[in-house]
Amino acid sequence: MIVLNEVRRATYLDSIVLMRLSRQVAALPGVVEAGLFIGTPANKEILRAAGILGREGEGADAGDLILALKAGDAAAAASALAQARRLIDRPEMAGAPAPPGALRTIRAAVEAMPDANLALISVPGHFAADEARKAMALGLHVMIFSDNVPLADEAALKCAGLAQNLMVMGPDCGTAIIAGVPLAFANVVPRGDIGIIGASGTGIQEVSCLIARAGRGISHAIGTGGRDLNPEIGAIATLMAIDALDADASTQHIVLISKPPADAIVRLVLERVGRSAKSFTVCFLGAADVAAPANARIAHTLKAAAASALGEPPPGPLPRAQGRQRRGWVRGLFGGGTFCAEAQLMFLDAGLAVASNVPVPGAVAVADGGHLMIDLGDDIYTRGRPHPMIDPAVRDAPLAEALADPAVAVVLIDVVLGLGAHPDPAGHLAGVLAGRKDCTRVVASVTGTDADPQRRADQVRKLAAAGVTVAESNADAAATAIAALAGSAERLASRP
Amino acid sequence: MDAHDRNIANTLLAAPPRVINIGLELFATDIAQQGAAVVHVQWVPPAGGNAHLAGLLDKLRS
Amino acid sequence: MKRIEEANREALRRILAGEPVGVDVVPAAQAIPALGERTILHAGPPLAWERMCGPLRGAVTGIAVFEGWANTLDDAERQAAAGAFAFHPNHHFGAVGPMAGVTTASQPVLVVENRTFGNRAFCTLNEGLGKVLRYGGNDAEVLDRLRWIRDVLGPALGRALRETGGIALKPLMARGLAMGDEMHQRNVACSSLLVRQLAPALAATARSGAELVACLTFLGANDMFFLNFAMAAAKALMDAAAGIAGSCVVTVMCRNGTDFGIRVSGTGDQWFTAPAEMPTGIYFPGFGERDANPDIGDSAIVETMGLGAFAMAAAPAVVDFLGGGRASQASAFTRAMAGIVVGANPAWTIAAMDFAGVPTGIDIRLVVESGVAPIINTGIAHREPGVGQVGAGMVKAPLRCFEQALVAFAQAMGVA
Repeated sequence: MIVLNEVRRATYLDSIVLMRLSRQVAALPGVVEAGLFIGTPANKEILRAAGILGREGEGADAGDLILALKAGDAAAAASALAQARRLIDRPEMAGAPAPPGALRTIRAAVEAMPDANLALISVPGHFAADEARKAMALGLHVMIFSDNVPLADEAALKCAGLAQNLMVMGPDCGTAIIAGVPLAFANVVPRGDIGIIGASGTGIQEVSCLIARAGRGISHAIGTGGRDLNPEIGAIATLMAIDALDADASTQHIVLISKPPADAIVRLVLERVGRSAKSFTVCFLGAADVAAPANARIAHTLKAAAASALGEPPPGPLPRAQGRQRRGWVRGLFGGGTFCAEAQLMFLDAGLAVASNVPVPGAVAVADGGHLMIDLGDDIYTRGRPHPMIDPAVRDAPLAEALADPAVAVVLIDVVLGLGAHPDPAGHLAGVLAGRKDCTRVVASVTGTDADPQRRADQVRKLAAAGVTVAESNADAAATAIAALAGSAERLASRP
Repeated sequence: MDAHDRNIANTLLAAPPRVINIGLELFATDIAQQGAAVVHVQWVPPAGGNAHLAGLLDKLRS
Repeated sequence: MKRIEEANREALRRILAGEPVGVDVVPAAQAIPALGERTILHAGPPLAWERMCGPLRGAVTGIAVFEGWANTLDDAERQAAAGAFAFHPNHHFGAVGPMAGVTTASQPVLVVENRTFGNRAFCTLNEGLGKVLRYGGNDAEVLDRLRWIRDVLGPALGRALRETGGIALKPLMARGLAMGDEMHQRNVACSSLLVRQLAPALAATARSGAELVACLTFLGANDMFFLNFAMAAAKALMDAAAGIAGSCVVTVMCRNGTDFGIRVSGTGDQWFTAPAEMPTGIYFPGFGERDANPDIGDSAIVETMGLGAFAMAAAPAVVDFLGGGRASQASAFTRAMAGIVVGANPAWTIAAMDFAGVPTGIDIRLVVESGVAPIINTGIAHREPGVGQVGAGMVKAPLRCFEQALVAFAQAMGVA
């Protein structure tokens, strides 16, 4: 095995471009492993762990681009490196040197658009806090999509935002919808009077799409980032978002979505909710019942949260699994971490033991056998690989493995549509399942709307045509799987 | 409601956002396609990623 | 820091307030008393003979023979290697010179006075195109031409300039900008306007009809004649903005064919140097990249002042000529430079950009932060002495100069 590194000084390409290039290089003959990364410490660790960081790569710094690869022999390695160079140097790789007129800094961008009011930041986490600071110094609200931002930086940014009346969404904020405009990984939903404040991107996506499909609309969906409700942050963004939606004329009802916070934070947030003149739905996924103020309803699943916001009766309790398992195990393969958590919670509620690589309280870590919910978006899977929402191929191997396992009775899948997502995840899945006769074992939820680029109705049709059972929501998919285990005589049938 | 509350509702929520996108170009493309105002910054690490120089720039910035 | 913003604003104010006037042509030793026997000024930051590139050596040996300090080029080379000559940058004496830029006692130099502040700047006269001293040419034809410039053209121009009371160069350049010149690689409009303005005085003060014919023929054939006026004007303007405590505006950019050097207002005379880069551009038939010399000349003072490549939007034809892409993209270059400066010059506006002023006052902080280095339009010299120009193109100032300057400037500001 030969490991080759080449470092391009002062060269930057965005992470999605680099991921695409990495896959192309990894697919070259004789190449075992390949990675093209900016030389931040976090990325060097990824390359090191993959066994392809050599001395040259070690010497790279955060402004450099590392080409790293491992190949079967020297000839294959050299040829792959030459091809990688050619790919980087193509004129359409608009990194550095950028077209001469390109804007290179926030300052230049503000000069080009003086009335800008929001900076959407998706640079490597190592740099994100600095860029956010610069944006806020210029009076911009910020949405930080980047993750791997130090907690202390998040705290400092949000405190500054509090002082300056600037919203800080994130870090790790994947989804927002402001005044009808979907930002980053979000869906095209109608404008309406229901506002959402979410610590989870996919949580926001699911609830906003369910509301859209019920014929209602979203005023704004404000992302707070996954750690906003940590004690170190103290829910600053959540509280500011409540204030903002309280004052926003277009919002009549507000849905709050997160995983369960510590008790002190729960009290802090619910106290503020209670002071609002508007009605709330509070969804702390998996929390035991909390004492809700008079103007708030509690929901335990995303589907229930949407139903509550729509003024519908809450969904009924799940049937508990009866007797011993007759139909085998359920394997969940999720791109959305929140969907993975929600599925685990529903299984635990139904009295079923469940394991996961990201276990919720009450679930166990991955072990042999048993119901298993995998979060494929977790760091351990996404190091050096695209996120499954961007590239469904990441799920192919685990899916094939699950289908090949006679002990697995049902496979749970989340298909997420919208901006930023793969153009045809259903088509990809159908291709992987082609020729199989047992596709009804696969239960999929499709998060999206007909206004999304992928068109939900088309995606559902493709899945149904492939024999997949399509559920209305992630919670419905989990309920379907649980019902199947209860020994229901009904065949799993596709539902529109 | 006090003045603090009114601010974000007015400055961020009252109208479609006018976005400066820094990082993944695909976000800017999508936002433009949705008909909203966006400029894309062809971002590169400040001072070519050199932490020492970036630190000096921070201190010398107005 | 507020102090820096105020100092930069003052630097810009001084640059914009300057009024450069071409007042005279005199022997260099008269303008620069230090120019005695065997003293040779050159383009770019300081360097010793051992590090001089081919074209600069060619110019040095050629001028040594011209001045009578050596009998032959070989003799001159031996003397140079033995340390017989004192080498200094033009910039150390308020002068500039294009390409090799060698300035010596008996060569005529243009005198430009900055009427607002009283300071003066000097530049030798442009020899024309083809095989010339500034590109390292040094044969008999080159030296004969230099003698004619010393004995006929220089004095004639001097008389004419004194006769007119001086030619105001700022408004002349404004007209040239509107006519497709950028005052570095394209000077034909300004050269024509200059000759038109000087012709009556040239005629009135001519020593003979034959000399007048020779001068007008020479000027009429040299599209680049105004370059040296633009350079001296730029030097006069930028010098007035030097030495302002707290200002990080660049006052000098220059190259000696080996190193690129910059000076910054708030750090005074300190040079910040890095290896000069290779231009990219198009070559005359028979020549290619392998023949090129690294970037050379004091003419980057034109870009320092906001013209040349900074004003590319006014001269789209130049983009094509320099192999820089499509002419319709010329504004992109000017816009890119606008991202690294403190302001714009309302006296020099570009119609194609809705009369935006040319980007003026390079801020080293913006260069280092963005990684966008100033672009310079330049001729390309052959790397061997005695050959001459082989092409034209664009080159970038090395980022390292600005990084070093930033560190020194930070120290000067009391910031570790």
